[in-house]
Amino acid sequence: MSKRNYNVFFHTHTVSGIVISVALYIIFFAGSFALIKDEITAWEKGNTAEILAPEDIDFNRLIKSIEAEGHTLYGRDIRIIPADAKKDIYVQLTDSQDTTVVNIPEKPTYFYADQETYKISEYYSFYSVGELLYRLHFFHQLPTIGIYIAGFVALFFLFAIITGVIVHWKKMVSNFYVFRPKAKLKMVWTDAHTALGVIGLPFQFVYAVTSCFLCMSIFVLLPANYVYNNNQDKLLEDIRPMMKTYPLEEKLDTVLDVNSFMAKADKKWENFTAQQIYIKSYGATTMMFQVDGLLGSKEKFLGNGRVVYKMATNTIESEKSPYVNSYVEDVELTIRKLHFGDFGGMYLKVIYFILALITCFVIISGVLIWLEARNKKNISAAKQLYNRRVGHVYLAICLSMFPITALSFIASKLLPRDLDASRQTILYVVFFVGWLLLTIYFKSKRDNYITNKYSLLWGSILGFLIPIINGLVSGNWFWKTFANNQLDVFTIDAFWLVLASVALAIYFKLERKVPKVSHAKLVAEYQKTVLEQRKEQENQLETGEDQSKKIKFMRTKISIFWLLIVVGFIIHHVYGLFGVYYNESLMIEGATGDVPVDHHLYRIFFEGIAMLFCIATLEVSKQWFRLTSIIWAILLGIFNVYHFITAIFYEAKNISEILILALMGVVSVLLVKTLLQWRKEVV
Amino acid sequence: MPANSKYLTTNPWQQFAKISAGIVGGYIVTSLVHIALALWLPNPKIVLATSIYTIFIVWGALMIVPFLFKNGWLVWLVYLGLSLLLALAIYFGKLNSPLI
Repeated sequence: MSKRNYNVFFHTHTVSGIVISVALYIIFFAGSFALIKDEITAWEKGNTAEILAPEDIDFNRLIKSIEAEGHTLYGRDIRIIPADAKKDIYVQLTDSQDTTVVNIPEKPTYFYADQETYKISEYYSFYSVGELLYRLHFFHQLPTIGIYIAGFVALFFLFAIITGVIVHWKKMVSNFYVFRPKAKLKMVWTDAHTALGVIGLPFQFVYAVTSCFLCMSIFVLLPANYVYNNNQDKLLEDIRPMMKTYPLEEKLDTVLDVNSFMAKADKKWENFTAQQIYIKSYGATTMMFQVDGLLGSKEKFLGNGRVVYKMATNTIESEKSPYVNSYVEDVELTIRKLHFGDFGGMYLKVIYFILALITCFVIISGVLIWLEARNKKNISAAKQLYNRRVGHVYLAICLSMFPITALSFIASKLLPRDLDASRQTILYVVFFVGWLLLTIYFKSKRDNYITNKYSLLWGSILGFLIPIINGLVSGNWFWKTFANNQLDVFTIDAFWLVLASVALAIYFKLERKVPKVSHAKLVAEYQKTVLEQRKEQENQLETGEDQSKKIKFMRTKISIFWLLIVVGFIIHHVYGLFGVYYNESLMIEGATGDVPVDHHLYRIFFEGIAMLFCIATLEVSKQWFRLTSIIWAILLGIFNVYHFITAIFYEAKNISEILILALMGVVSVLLVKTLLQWRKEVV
Repeated sequence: MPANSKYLTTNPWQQFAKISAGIVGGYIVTSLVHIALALWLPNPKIVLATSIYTIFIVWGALMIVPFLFKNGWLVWLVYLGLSLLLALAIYFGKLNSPLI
């Protein structure tokens, strides 16, 4: 490889890696917990009952229970996933195919049914910390765009993996054996990064590719749709046969016994376990009972089978034997199995977990190499300061995830069951607000060594508390659950004991390798150079008078930007009501004629505070004020950009509103830019 | 040892050309390749099932290629030329063996 290409690939590897590093770390860290999310839920519920086998589900009772909730089932497809460690049966309903009924309120929906009482509860009624971590690992907390962000992070991860291999190719084998723990810090990170990167390589490659598919299947569907001339039904039927739908014919006059079909399907093949059960075109003569299942993973890696019964005639409509492989069906199954790691029991999950943590380490060491390589005398003080800040923020965000996850486990266990309705909110506050505060705290310490050491210590202490608190609250002490063979509950306690011990061991082994670099010294150095530069500029170009005029002008400019933001908010508010001119009804539910207080707060928050900054900028020029302005302007900017993106998704028709939001985004960017300039000006 | 900057592209327009060619152009070529293969190979179902993972691998590879070039706009030209050829292949493929 030519020198140029080596350097170019090296650079693309560095840049793509640094850009995605934090997001990728969050994905792998949260993802490693997502591997055991069902066990986490079981642990939180503390319910030690046996998991109901699919063949023991009473479908007739389940259907009655769903109908009792007010759902009309005729013409809908019902998808049932048998209970897992959560001890709940998952039910999903499609919309009705029955076109004769207009204005059916029946929309596609999903919920849980209790495996013992068949009582229906909302999907989110018990929000588990496992669910939180699972959803965080594809940024589901950001509506609509979150999963695409995760998908593109995966795609760039694939890019970083390939360029990393290209860069290291020649010395891959020899570098693998190099380990110089006594050498300079950068060498230690480099050795660890390459060695662990190579160990994790196949795992990481598999994860990059499978996550791309799971998050961005739209990019696969677009070409496929084109090949099928947009005939999506035919496409699904060919590529994903389990999704085949059956046309609705006339209504059945008898109610069929669903349980008997499950009993038949269960006897069809030995060691065959149902994974998904469908009742399609419910209540029609074309009503189908479909069971999709797998052979045990010990018997066959890709043993998926399917049987579809036409219920009215009690005949087999179609079947696929789990002993015969079909490439078309097995590809997606392979991808899912590889991604979820559910083919080798708990041992495989342990290996996956360790590999995920290794990947986290590879990401962190990559950031540290980047930092160390730029921590040199010949780099200007300003650049050094910037790099240090980036390093502090990155490590604070990444490393504080460990203690905050442990804290959230404790919080989830301490939350009493009668708070189930607000469980999600409380867990969100504990996890996300706690994470933010901890990040700010570590950032303010400006010392990566401290960040690392105390995240490990607090994570470890909280980790040891987890099994203790579980024992105290629910009486499920880990020796008891082990003796009773309640492995799903035991797993979590044991898991935290091991994790906390390892973290504590590392904590005691840690020592500061390099002396602490004083931040104040760097800042002083930086200010000195800046002052020197400015003096030079002043001498060369402008007299002092011009300078002060320029500063005054800058304040006017900032003030105008704030005013534009205020006007923008007002215009946006008016455009939001645009539909009213064209006879859209404007009746807010529960309106009494009084303006609710939170609406006042809302407007003060956006318009009032921006107006306040507009006026104050003309009068105040203290450093603290400049800093507050920057923070508020950045927060508003983020909000404006976010609002612009969501408006594109949800209100695409209101073009004038989208335009004003785009302009607001531009003003925000200009404002932040000018404010940053202002901060550097000497009064 | 950050990469030696004398080999790197510093012109922002060139950087934009290479990155956009990799991400946007790369995807266009990738999807057209898969459509053309599905139409010309005997079993389109197998091609489409395979595309579940190959689309992302080919896309990833085509994201790297632009960085081998000195001029990013040349990459766009190459990718658009390739797309044109593939579009022709798809057009005749559809005439030759329509799937539906």
